[in-house]
Amino acid sequence: MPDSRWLYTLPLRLRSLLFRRQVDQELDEELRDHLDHQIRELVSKGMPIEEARRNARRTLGGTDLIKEQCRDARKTRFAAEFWQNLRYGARTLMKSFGFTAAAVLTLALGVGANSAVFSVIDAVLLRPLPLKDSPRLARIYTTAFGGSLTKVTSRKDFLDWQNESRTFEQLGIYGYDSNTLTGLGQPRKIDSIDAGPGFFELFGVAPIAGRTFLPQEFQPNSSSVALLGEGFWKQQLGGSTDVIGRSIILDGKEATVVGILPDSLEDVVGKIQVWLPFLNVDENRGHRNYWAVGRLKPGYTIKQANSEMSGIAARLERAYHDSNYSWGTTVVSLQDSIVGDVRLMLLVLLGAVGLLLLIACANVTNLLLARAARRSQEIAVRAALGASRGRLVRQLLTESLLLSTLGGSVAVALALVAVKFLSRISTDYVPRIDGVRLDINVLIVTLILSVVATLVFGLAPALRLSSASLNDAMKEIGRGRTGSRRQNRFRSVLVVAELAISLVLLVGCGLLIRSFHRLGAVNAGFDADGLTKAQVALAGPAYKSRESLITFYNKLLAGLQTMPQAESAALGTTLPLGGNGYTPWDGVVAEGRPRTPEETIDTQFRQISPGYFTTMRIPLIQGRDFTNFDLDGKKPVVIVSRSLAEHLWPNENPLGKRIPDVAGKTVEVIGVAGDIKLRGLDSPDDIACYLPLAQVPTDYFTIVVKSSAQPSVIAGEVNDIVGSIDKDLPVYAFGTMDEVRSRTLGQRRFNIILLSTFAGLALLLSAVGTYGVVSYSVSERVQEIGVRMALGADRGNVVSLVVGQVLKLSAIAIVVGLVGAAGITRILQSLLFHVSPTDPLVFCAVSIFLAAVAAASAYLPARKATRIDPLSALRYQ
Amino acid sequence: MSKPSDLVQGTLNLLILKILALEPLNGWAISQRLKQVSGDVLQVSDGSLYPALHKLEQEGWITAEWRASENNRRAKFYSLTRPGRKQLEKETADWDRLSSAITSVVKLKEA
Repeated sequence: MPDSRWLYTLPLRLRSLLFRRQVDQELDEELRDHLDHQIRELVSKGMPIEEARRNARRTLGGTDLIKEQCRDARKTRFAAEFWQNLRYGARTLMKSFGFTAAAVLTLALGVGANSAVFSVIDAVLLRPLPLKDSPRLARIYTTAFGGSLTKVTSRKDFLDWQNESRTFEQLGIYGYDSNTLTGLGQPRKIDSIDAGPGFFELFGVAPIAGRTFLPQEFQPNSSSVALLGEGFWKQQLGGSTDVIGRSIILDGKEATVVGILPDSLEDVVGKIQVWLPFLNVDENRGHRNYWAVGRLKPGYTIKQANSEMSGIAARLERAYHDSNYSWGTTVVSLQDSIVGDVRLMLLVLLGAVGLLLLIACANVTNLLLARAARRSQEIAVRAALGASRGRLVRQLLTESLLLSTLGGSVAVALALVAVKFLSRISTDYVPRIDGVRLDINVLIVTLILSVVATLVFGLAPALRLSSASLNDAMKEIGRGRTGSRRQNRFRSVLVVAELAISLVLLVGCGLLIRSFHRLGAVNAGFDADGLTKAQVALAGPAYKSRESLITFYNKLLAGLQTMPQAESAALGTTLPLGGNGYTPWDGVVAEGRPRTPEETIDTQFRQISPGYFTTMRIPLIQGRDFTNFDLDGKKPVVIVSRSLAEHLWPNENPLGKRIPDVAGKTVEVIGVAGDIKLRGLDSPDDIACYLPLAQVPTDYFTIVVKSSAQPSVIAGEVNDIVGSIDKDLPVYAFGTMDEVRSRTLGQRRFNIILLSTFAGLALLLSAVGTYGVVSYSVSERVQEIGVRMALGADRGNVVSLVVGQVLKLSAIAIVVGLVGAAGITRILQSLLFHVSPTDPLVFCAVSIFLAAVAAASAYLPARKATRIDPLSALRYQ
Repeated sequence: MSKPSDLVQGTLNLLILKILALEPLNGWAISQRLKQVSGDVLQVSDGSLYPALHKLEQEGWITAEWRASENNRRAKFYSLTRPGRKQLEKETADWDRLSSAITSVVKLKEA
């Protein structure tokens, strides 16, 4: 039934709100009026005026109470009462500063950490890429030999995909290259991409100046053009637009700059300084060196594209057996391809921080419960003085609100700092982290979370207290016991829960740490100690011929021998742990064996100088190293790794055997070297062939020097030596092999740092929680302790009694935690290295650690308890 | 002077609404009228009258205006609103039902 009451109530409420004083005055007037009438009546009946006044007042009753009740009826006292509650609440919170600080910090920590991690997850995993229509962008990877991801494809295959695909609107191809840039200040090595036709349009990337490539510029004999990357342009060229039209010299050839490209593709392809048009016309289908991307047609899904591409790949496999046998494709969304690797770790972190929040909430609950119990006396008195239940609840609620607002503000501040910090330390390990900001939505959720948490945990005791009968409350206070047994049990349950959760997090950390150590202990097959490296690029017209390269090597090696502090030095291409190096398309096969996919084996090739094995301390198992006599024109030789020898000539002596088609020649095996890990510590040993630089020269290589001197000194000397041969050569990427080795562990180290921070915080909060609960329970049992000590228990007994009880709780927590951990750590499987998710050593060590921490946090309040003088404890009523 | 019964307290709203249905009055007059009409049986304490009046006003069943009263002062006169009239009907019906039920029980013949 439509109620037209609001016509009356609304103006009334507004009036009461806005003109409060007038309304109060009116009430006064109304009551005074009543009194006057009453007095006049009594006087008219013959009562003397003074008596009449007194009588009238008595009959009316307490005007203040009436006014109070009228105001209550007006329901707008709420606003004024709220303000009063606020002030009172602030005062009480200030008085119990320890409690307030603990609650605010705990809440802020739990909620703030969550907001920070959630902002990171939002920026990295959830937010779509800043490219046109990014959900429709995808990568097409190549898979080989039953699913291992090779990722790159060949130009011929790509063209077929482009022709035949019906699910993709457009496909793009690109390849990486390195060039030496001269003519623009110091010669330097730059990373470039050869981008195919339509590449930039596919991503919707427009140049910030100039233009991208025209169709005719993709023809092989057109004039050379290039685009500069935005970051490179700003940094090296000052960002002036008159660079357009200028020429730069790449690898000795001139190219005209026609545009500047923004860095919006950095997350997709990496930091690129120069973009060139894709000019490759390789007709060999097996030469796989290029990356394929595509834009789906509207309405098509990745899954559909995946099936279609697999079908096309199968057709190509049948049509071109030699090059495409067992090669397939897989399509993944572009976003997945960028963030897929870190997704698991980030979600694990989210889980960890969520658990941290649970612990924080448990702590805050405990704090609020303890406080409410302590205040029951004050509340009972106020109830006795006439405060209504509603009033009390409202006041406690306001206090909780104040606490939660405080906690929320600190949480926001904490989250801001944490987000900045996280983004700074994660740049190398987490893609897209640069865009992380504290989201406004996350902020609002943060505040709401903290308000809800405090209200829920603060209201429960408030409701209980205000409804408890006054009598009971007074009695309990008299007895010195302000908490019920049920409440104590609840608190213990909370502590057990906290400890169990901390255990789970610590186990996770422990597993990651153990994996880290296992990985770090892996023998990479060479000795990284004391090795300094530097990379050299021989570019320019002076180094076009093989002879010029070989001459350079000889001069360089001679110069390196003169270094006083170097034990040995050598040259090589793509050092161990440096990733993929040159791998011939078709693999290698033993001489005399048919070149079938079953007989050939993929091999990493490295070109090295004599002394390489000595410098790297790689054992030479059979045969000999290269010497200065293995020259161009002499017998082509090769040193194979043990694994290659075993594969090509099982159970035979590999020395003297030959391998055809290596760099156009048939090479003879003159030595067998120990296996090393060329790609990474967690990869299996690599199959490798070593060729002498003197016979197979190249223009990019690395100098490696073994010395006990300071790396910076060695680096300086190397720089000088190269400079003395040719001052225009860039020497770059100085470093030590120790650093290289350490950097391969970088991702894991980063994961551990993050997870252990949260686990550590969780443990700290649990310890604080345990401390709080024990101190509280001890303060309640003052009499009991007094009695015990009076009856002859010494300090040690009392302490071990208290600590013993906590240890019992910890035991329960450990059991619960271990069961939980056994179930949950399975998630971490892919992040572990040779460590089982239920590794017993980790489980045991963490349990002992937790028990020790719990005992320690109980020890302190226990010891304080023993300082109680038994007599005064007994007297305490 | 008999004390007001609890029953009166509970049905105060009904009494006030009915009195105001006859004519607008101020607080003092309402309490006097109650005494008059009921022959001094119903005496509502002023301590409960005014809060009840303000509550009714908050609910929107009565509305108030300040008028000039006899002795050149102004007084707050309450009157019934239209929704208030409906509420009065409802409460009257409730009261009828309640009182007849009680009467039926009380009038039971003893065995």
